[in-house]
Amino acid sequence: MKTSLWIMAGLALVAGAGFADRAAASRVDKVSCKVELDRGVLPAGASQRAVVKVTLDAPLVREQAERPPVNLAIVLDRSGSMGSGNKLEKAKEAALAALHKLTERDLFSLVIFDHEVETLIPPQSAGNTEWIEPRIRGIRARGNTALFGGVSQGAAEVRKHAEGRYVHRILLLSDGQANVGPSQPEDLGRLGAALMKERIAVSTIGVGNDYNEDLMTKLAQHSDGNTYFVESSRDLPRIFARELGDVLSVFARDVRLEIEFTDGVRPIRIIGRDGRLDHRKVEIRLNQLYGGQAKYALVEVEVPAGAAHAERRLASARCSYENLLNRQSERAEAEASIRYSERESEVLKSVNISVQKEIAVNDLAEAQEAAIRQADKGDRVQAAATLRSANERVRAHAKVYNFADAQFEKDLSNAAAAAKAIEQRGLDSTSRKGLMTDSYQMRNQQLR
Amino acid sequence: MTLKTSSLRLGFALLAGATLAIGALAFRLLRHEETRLADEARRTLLGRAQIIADNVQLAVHDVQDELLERVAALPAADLPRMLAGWTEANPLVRNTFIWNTATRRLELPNPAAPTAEEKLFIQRYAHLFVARLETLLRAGERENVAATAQQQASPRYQFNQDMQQAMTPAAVRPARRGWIPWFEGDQLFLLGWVEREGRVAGVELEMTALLSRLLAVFPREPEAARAWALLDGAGHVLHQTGGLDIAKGQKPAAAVSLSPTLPHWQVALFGAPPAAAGGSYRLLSALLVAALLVSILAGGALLLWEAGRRAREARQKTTFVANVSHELKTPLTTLRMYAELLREDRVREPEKRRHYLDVMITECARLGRLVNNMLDFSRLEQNRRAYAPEPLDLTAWLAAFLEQQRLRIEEAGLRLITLLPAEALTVRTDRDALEQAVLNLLDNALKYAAAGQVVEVELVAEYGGARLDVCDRGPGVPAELREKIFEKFYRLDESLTARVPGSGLGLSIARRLLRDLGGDLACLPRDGGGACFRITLKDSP
Repeated sequence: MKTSLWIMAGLALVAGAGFADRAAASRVDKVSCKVELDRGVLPAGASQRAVVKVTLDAPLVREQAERPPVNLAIVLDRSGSMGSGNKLEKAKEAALAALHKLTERDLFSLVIFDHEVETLIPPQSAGNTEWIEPRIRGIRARGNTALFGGVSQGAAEVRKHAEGRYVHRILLLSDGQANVGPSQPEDLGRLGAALMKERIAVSTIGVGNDYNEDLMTKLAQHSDGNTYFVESSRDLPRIFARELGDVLSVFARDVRLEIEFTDGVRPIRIIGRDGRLDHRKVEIRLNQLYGGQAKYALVEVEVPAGAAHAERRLASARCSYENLLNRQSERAEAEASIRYSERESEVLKSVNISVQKEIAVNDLAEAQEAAIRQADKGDRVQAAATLRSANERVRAHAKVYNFADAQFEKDLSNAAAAAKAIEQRGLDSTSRKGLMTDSYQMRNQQLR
Repeated sequence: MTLKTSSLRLGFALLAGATLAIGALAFRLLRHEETRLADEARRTLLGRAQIIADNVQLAVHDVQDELLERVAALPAADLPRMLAGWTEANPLVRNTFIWNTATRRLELPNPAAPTAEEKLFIQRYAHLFVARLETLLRAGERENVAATAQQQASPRYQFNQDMQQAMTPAAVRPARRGWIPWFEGDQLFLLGWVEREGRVAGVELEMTALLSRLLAVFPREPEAARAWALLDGAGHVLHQTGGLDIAKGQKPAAAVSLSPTLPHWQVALFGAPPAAAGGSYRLLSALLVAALLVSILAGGALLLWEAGRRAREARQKTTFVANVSHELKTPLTTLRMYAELLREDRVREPEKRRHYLDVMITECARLGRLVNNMLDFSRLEQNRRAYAPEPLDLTAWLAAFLEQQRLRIEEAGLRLITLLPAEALTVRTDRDALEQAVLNLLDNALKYAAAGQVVEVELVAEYGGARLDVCDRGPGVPAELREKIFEKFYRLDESLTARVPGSGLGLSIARRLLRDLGGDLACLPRDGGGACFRITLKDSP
């Protein structure tokens, strides 16, 4: 048994090193790594800017029985404002629905907070529904919002089972401004970063129009969780279900992606993600990969000039992760190269439409964030102009390569509507939350 | 009489004085006890705050010691890479650094491309690295820093440290190390360092992660009106347990400093100052003392009143016995004198003998009335008087009754004026009782109002009954005594009663009888002097 595993691992390594593409097709139970460029052929004779896309694709977790168990802590805001508009009731319903989606192998805990923090349900098997359910139903709204304390307590509950191959997840639901304890977005961002080191991801759900989206987004971003904006509490059960769908399909965790560029190729920036940018290397960390859901990283690089017909190895990507199905540390590798050509038609023909689309999506996301910053400073005209020009640019881009789909169209029209609203009335709370959440979801390739 | 009242007053004054003294003493003791309890509560709370603060400091020290221990243990060869990897993996580490004491430069893992976080780090500690760290290192600071760190450290931490020192052989004493609290932009940062072969390796604590873990140290506070809180240097609440909603700028009831581990941070208790915690105790005790005092006073007053009443009654009974004896003795003397005269046969004239016999009969009748009254009184007192109500024509009955009495009245020198209604006036009542009441009133008039020369009796029909007034032109009854005269044994002022014998029972009996019959008897003032007694009769079913 042991020997065969070793042999398999060895084979995998060999395959991964040499024949990345072929290997991806033949091994379904591993993360596949793919490196692409926005154009496979570059114009010869001048240095060029290009975008490298590294895609990590985890296979679907088909069997419920083989998926890794989940260690879920729901952190529920029960401050006074949650009592209005059915929010708390819907949240309780959603939490119960989430509980029923879990099996007895999973761990469930629930922390409620107002100005103080209480662990209502200590971590235990999600099969104990008879004990858990009445306690969730009994939650009543009151008091202030100790968000930091709530998340900390949730983390403490998750930490009790830090060992083992659990998918650790905190699901924070709040509708208010944090007003007890640290409440700056940076503070919560740092907390998120610290939790990510412990492999705990925090997904944040903001309800209504009063929560602090900067804070919720930062917390999710730095712990590699998802973030959601729920305007009406009616959508809560759907959002919980989506989030849980993600949590239940986690395939790999502790994902490190290293992209090394060959001599002369200079990385300029990482588009849409945090990471370490070196003169020859880019390092990006992800907390987890969801099965059946591709995550990618975009890096803009400067490629030195080359003679026509010359080929050039451009980059190699190495991805290491912990496979939660077999609890092995695994690696996936891939590399990419380009060719130079003097013929423009050849260059055009080599355009990779999917990469172009991702570039466009990230372009839009960045423009949205810039517009938010401008509007925050009170520069409405500039903010609207930023959004409009990005909108036109991206739309034109989409037309050239014909990659627009329904979600893309929706994002564009949302941005256009926001531009109009900003121009007329300034950036209102709802639009700001919408834009902020959308741009995070776009950059994070979160399922929507 | 006046002596009795003053002795009563004296008794009451003594009682009240003693009670007040007891009360004052009790309240003093109460106040004292309250202060003691409040002090104790405050001490307990401060003790609890100290325990929490100790736990916080212990938790921080644990983290700090472990981190520095690990920095010290890292292999020297691969130090930069190890530290960088550690920054990525350890949630409690925000940054790591290596300071080269020879070149006086920071050795970054990748100097060409510092991350945003590294840039911030350099910015934050530029001043420290340029000036203070050097000073610290030069001054043989381990002792210094350690000394400041232990100055106010909790006894438990001290104990742990001592134990560690005792367990570590002197040869393996750890390298020079320490922690530096650093303030930047109103925020606290902790920087730990270990000196290693010409370099200083160190870590910056991830304060949010540390804080996040410190929260677990705080106990749950069941009291809704109270809250334990962790305060930072600016007094912001970093965390709280307990139901109290801490207002901005609210002053804590008790606070314990977390210096020097976390300078300017505090563990504080909010709400419910310990004194107010005894509020219900004070109220309850005060109520108890007050109840005790009131019951002492009331009981004493009741006893004194009862004693006074007994004394008065005894006095009245003595007077009564004297009066009654006198009343009985007068007719007996008369009877005996006339009887002896008749026996000696000295009186020859038949008119005179007849007169003597008449007097004897009258005196016998008076004796009979007196005895009847007394019997009635005792029967009434024991509630043994039986009534036989029957329809009675008051007009006819009163005319006949007064006719019987007319002689006696006129003999006393009084003129009887009767005002009777023309028609019959029938009321259901007890004839004997009514007769006795009216008789007592007439007797009173004969006894005390003989000087007025006239007695008027008037009968008037009223709705549901009748009223019967017996009025005279005597000295009258003072307004303040018009009720008192109906009390048993009571007799109007001494001079009057001294001259006229009486038992003090007549009016009392008359009123008892009439009230038993459903009517009443009252004394009314009369224009032009004299007294008027009004009988009201209800037609009893």
